[in-house]
Amino acid sequence: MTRAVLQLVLSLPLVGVFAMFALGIVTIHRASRVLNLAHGAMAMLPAYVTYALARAGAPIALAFIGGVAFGAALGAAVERLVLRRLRGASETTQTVGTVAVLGLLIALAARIWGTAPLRAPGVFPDHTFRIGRSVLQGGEIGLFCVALIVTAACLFLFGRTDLGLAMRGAAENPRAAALMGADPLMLATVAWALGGALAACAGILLAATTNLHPYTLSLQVLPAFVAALIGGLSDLRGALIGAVVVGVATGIVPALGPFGEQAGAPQLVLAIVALVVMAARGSRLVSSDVRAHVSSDTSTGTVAMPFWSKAAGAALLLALPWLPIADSVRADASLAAMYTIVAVSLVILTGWVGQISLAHATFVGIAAFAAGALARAGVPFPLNLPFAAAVSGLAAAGLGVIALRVRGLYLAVATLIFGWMADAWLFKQPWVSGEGGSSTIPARPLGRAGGFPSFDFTSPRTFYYVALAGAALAVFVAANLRDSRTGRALASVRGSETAAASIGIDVTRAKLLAFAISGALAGVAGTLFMLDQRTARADQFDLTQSLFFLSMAVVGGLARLGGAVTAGIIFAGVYEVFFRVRALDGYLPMFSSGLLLLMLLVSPGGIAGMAGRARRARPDTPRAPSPVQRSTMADARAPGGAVILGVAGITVRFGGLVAAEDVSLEVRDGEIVGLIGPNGAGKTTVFNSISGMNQPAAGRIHLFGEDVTALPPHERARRGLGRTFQAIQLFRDMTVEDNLLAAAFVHGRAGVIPQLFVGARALTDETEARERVRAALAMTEIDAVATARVADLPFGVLRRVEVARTIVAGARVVMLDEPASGLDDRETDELGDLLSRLRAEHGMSLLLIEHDVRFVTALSHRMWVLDRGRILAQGTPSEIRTHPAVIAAYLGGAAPEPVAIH
Amino acid sequence: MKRALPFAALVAVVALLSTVSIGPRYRTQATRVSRTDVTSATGGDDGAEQVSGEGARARSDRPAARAGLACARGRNGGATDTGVTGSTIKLAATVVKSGIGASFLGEVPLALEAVVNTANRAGGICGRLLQLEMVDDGWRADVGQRYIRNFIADGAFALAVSPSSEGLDAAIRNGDIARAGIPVVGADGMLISQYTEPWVWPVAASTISAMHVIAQNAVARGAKTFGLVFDKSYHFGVEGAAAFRGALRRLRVDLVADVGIEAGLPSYKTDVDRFNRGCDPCDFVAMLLEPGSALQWIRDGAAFGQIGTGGPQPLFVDSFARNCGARCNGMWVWTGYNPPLAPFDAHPAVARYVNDMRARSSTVDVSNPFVQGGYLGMALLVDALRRVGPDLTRTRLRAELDRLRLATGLTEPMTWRPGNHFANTSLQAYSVVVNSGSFAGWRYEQTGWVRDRWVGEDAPKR
Repeated sequence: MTRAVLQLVLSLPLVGVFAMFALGIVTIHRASRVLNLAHGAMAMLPAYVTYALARAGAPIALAFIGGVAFGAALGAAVERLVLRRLRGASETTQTVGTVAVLGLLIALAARIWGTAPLRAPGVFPDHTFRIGRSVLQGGEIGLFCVALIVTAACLFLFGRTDLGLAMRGAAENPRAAALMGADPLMLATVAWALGGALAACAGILLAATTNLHPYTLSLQVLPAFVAALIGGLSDLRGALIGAVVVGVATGIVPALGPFGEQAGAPQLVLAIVALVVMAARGSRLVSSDVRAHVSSDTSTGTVAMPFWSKAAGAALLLALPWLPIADSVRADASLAAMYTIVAVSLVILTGWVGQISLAHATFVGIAAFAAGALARAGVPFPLNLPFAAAVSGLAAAGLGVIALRVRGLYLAVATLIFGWMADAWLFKQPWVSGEGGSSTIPARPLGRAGGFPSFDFTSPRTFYYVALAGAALAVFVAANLRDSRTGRALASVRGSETAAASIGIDVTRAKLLAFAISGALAGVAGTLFMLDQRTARADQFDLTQSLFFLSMAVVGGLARLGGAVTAGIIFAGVYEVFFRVRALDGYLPMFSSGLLLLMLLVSPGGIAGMAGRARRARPDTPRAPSPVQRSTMADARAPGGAVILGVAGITVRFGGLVAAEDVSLEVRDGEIVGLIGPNGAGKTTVFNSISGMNQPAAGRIHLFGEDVTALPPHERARRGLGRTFQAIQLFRDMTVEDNLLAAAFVHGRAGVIPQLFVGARALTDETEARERVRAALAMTEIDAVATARVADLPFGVLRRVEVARTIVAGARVVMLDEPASGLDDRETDELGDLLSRLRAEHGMSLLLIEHDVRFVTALSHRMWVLDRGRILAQGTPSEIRTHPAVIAAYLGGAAPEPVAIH
Repeated sequence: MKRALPFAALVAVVALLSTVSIGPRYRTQATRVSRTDVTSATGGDDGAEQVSGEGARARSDRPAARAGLACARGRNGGATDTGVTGSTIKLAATVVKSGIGASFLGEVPLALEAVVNTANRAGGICGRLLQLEMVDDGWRADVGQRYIRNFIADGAFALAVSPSSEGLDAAIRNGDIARAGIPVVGADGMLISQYTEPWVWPVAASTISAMHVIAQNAVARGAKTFGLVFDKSYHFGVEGAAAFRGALRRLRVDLVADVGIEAGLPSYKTDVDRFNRGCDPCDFVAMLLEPGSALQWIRDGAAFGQIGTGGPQPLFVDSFARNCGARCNGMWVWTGYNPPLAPFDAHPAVARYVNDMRARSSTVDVSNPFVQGGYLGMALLVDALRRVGPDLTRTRLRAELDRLRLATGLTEPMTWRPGNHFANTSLQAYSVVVNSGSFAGWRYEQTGWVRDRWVGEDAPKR
C-alpha cells in the first residue's frame, strides 16, 4: 500500500466525523439561517450523557440512543428557548446567541463531570486493525460506516420527503411556506432537533475513539465549518465534498515534509482552500441585492447629553486615578478603555457596515506581536503604535478582500476560519510570536526618569491615561467617521450594496476601508495590550477571545458608540467582581455566558438598543408631504437636445437564457423616455445593464458620449447616471436626511483622514452636502419628514425619497424602475408632477419603466417597447398606443417583427 | 470642529496628567499600611517607605534596630512590611477552579489551606495569622496576570505557590514580579521562567530537569536509539523537548524520531505514522504530552520503546493510567516527590501530608502531584516565614529563602541559592501496572533519586 493511499484510509474516520458535523451545521443553517457556533458543544454534552448512562449500567446501544435523543432534545430546546426569541434580530446577534449557548454548555459539562479527560464507552467492538505502521480502531471504522448511513438518510430526507422540502421552503420564505400550510416555527424546531441529533451522533462516536473532554470535544467541530462553507452552508452534497476535503487534508498535510510538520499547517491549508472556494463561488455585486439582515436597532444616531453631564463625565475620567480607589479598579478602568477600543472597531465594521467579524482577536494579536517586535527592535511606544495599527489594518483589509465576494454568515465563517488559521499557524510562527509562541517587551519609560515630560508606562496611572487617550481617540475618530460622508457611505453599503453603488459609492473601496479602519483600531487596542501586559502569547488571541469581543460589542449594542463604551465598562467590571467576590470562584465561564444570553434575550439590540427604543417611544410624528398642485402630467415642450444616454445593441445572457437581445435605445437631453413591456420582457435586465449591475455579452452603452460599458455601477453614477428601484432600495435604518446625505458622497473632496479628524475641507464638504440635501428635500416636498426614519414612512413618500436621492447625487439622467408601482392614483399624479418639474426646472432626463400605461404615456416624449428581450417598437406615446405589435404583445397573439415607427 | 476642540483639550490634559505619575509602580499602595502599626513597629519614621521591590531592599539593608522583637502577639514588630500587621500576614494565590486546567490543578487550593490551617491552629507565625486569599483565574494567562497585579496592588506580602502557572509565567516574564519585589514561594509550575526569576522559589522539579533525568536513566538502562513526541502548543513541551535533545546530544545517542504535535486534535495518525517510521524500532520513547493528547497518541498506534517508554510528571495521574489501559502497562513516569504510594506511603512526612490533606478534605486526591507540590510549596513558605521571625520583610524573606535548605521528607533535601533556584533536581520513577486490562496501580521502579546532571542547561532563549 503506498503511503498516500495509507493516509487516505487513515483519514476516513475524520471524514466521517466532519461529514456528520457539517450535515448538522448545514441542516440548521438551511432551516433557520443561523450559524450554530454551539454545534460542538451540542455534540459534547450528549457524549457525556451517553457516558453517564453507560456508567449507570445501561447497555451501550441504549446509552447511544439515549444520547442521540438527548441531542435532539437539546437542539430543539436551544431553538425554542434561545433562537426563537432572537427571531428578527440580526444574524450577528443570533450568532452570538449560539456563542452564549456554547459557553453555557461547556461550563455546565465542566461543572458536572470536571475537565479531566474521560474514556467514553465504545459503541463498537474494541478491535484494532493495523494498517501499515498505524492502526484503525473498530470504533473508527464503525464511525465511518455510521457517517455513510446518516449521510444517505439526510440526502433522502431533504431530497425526497415532504418534511425535508418543507424545511427548506420554510427557511427560504417563511411566509410562503405558511401559506402552503407549513408551520415555519415548528419546522425550525424540527431542523434544530435533527441538527442536534446529528451533532450528538458525531460527538458520541468521536468521544468513543478519542476522549471525553468538555473543551477539546467542543472545538473539534471547527474544521467542519470549512466543510460546510465549501458546500455554501446550505448544500448537503457540497458539505459532504467539503468534509472529504477537510478530512483528507487534515490527515495528509502533516505528512508533507517540513511544511506539514509546522504547527497549524493543516489549518493553513484548509483556510486557503476555504478562501479560494469562497472567492470562486462568491459574486462581486448582484443585481437582486443581498441585503444584510440587520436588526431594527441599528440606527447610528447619537444620544444627546447635556453639556454639564459631558463635562462631569470627562472630569471623572480624568480624576479617576487620583480618587481613593483600589489600584485594581484603576487597572479595570484601563482594561475598560482597551475593551472600548475593540468594541468601537466592531461597531464600525459590524454595526455600521454589516460585515460580521469573528476574527477581531486576531487583529488585536497581530498588532500586539508587531508592537512587541518593534519594541524589541528599538521602536518603543508610542512610535510603534502607528506601525502596529497599520499592520493590523492591512491584515484586516486583506481579509476584507474576501468580504468583496461573500456576505452575511458566509463572511462570518470566512473570518472564523481566518482566526482559526491565525491561532493555529500564524501566531505559532517564530517570526511572529518568538520561540515558544510568546513575545515579551522590556518596560522602558519614555523620556528622562524624573524629568519632564517623562512617561513610565508601568505606572497604572500613566497607563490609565494612555488607555483613556486611546479610547477617546477611537470614539472621536469613529464619531467623526459616522458623521462624515464616508461614514454615511459605509452605512449605505450595509443598507443596500446595490443602492449604494447606484449613488456613486464604491462598495469595494468602502468595505476595504471599513475593514482597514476597524483593523487599525483593533491594532491600537493590541498595542496598548502589549504595552500593559508586556508579554503576549498566541493563545490569548484565539477564537474564544474573538467570540468574547463580538459578544461584548453585541451586548453593548452594535449600532452606537455609547454601547461600545458601556460594554467595555461592564465586561472589565466583571473581572473586578470575580476578583472581589470569592464566592463566585469557578463560575466565571458560566456567569459570563449566562449574562450574555440574558442580555441578548432581554434586548437583542444591546444596551444601546434599549436606549434607542426608549427614545423612539416618543418620536417626532412625521408629517405627510404637503399636497402638491395638480398639473398636467407631461410637458408639451419637446426636447431637442443631444443623445446623452445611448444603448447600442446590448445582449444579456444568464447562462443559456437570453434575457435581452440586441436592444438599442436612446435618451436625449431633457427628454422623458418610457420603456414598457409585459412582465418578463427584460426591462429591468436592460436597466441593470445600463446602470452596471450586470455586464452585457454584446453591445455598448454610452453616457454623455463616453463609452461606459466596462465601468462599474458607482463610476456610472459619478458620471451623472442615477436610478431608482422597483423594490425600494433605501437605507431603512437611516433617516430621510441621512439617506440623502449618503447620496452627497460623490461630491465630497476631503480624503478619509481629514474626515476622521475634522479637517477644514471635510467641514466644507459637510456644509455643501447639507445644502444639497435641503434643496432636494424642498424640491421633492419631503422636508417635513427629513428626520423621520425611512422604515417608519409610507410607500408614497419613499418613492419621493428615492427620487430626491438621485437629485442629491447629481444625476442628470435618472432611470426609474416602476416608480408608480404601489401608489394610488393621487400619489401617481403627484409623482408625475414631480418628475415633470424635475425635467422642466432642472433639466433632468428620465428613462422610466412603468406598467401604468396611462402614467407613462402621459409623461413620456418617446417610448420603447420591449418583448421577450427584444425591442418591439418605438415611437411617441400616441404611436405606441395604436401600434398593432404592441397591442398584440400586451393582449396576446403572435409577436411581429420589430417595427420602427417614424 | 465642535468635536475637535474638546478632544484636543482632553488629549493635552491627559498628556500632562500622565507625566505626573512618575515613580515606581504600586507606589500608592504603601500608604495603605496602617500608620498606627508602622509607628509602633518603627518609631514612626519610615511609614512612607513601606514599599516593595528595590525600595524595600534598600530599606532592609539598614541596621534593623529590631532589638526586643519577639515571636509573640504585640511584640512582633507590627506592620513590618507590605501586607504584614501585628496580627496577620496577607498572602495570595491565583488558583484554578474553572477552565481546562481545573482537572489537575483544581484541588491544589485545598493543599494550601491545609498548611495554612495547621500553621494558624498553632498560633500563626510569630503571633501573626496567615491570611490567604485565593482567586480563580481559569488558568488564563491574561486574567491570572491581572489578578496577580491586583494582589500586588492590594498589598499582599507574598504569593503562595500560585498554582495557576500561566498567569504567573506572564507576570514573571513581563517583570511584574521583579518590579514589585514580591516573593513567590513554593511555585510548582515547572516552567523555566520560575527557576530563573530571583523572586520565585519553586519546589517542583523543572520539566527540563525531568527530561534530562529521563534521558540519563534510559541510557543507563542501555537505550541507544530514542524517539521523542512532544506538545508543540505549550511551553512545557517545547522546553522539555529542547532539554531532552540536549541531553541526548551530550550522551552521544541517537534521536531517530522527533515529532511535535498539537494538543487536542481528534487524530494523530499521520504524525504517528511519521513517528513510527523513524522509531522502527526505538530503544526508548519519551512522551512529553499532557494526558489527553498522550491517550490519543497511544490510541492511534504510536510505537513504544523496546527498553522503555517514559514521561514526566503530567502523566503521573491515575486518570491517564486508567484510560490508557493495557497499552501503558510498564510505562514509566517520573516525579520529583515521594508520592503517597508504596514504598513511601509509610514515610512520616508523606503520612503527615496525607493526614493534613485528609483533615482538610476527605475526598481530595492525595496522589495528584500538583496537590503534593502545592502542599510542599506552602510548607516552604511557612517554614521560611518562621525562620525570618518577627521582623518580617520581603527582603528578609528573600534572604532567608536564598540560603534555605528544606528537608521535609517529601523530596530530596532542597536548597536555594542566589542565582540558582533549581532546588528540586532529582526524580524517581514509577510505572503503570495493568492487570487484566485494567489499571491496578503504580509500581516503584527502585530508581532511587536520579539527579539531573545538567541543571539549568538547555533552557530555550526568550
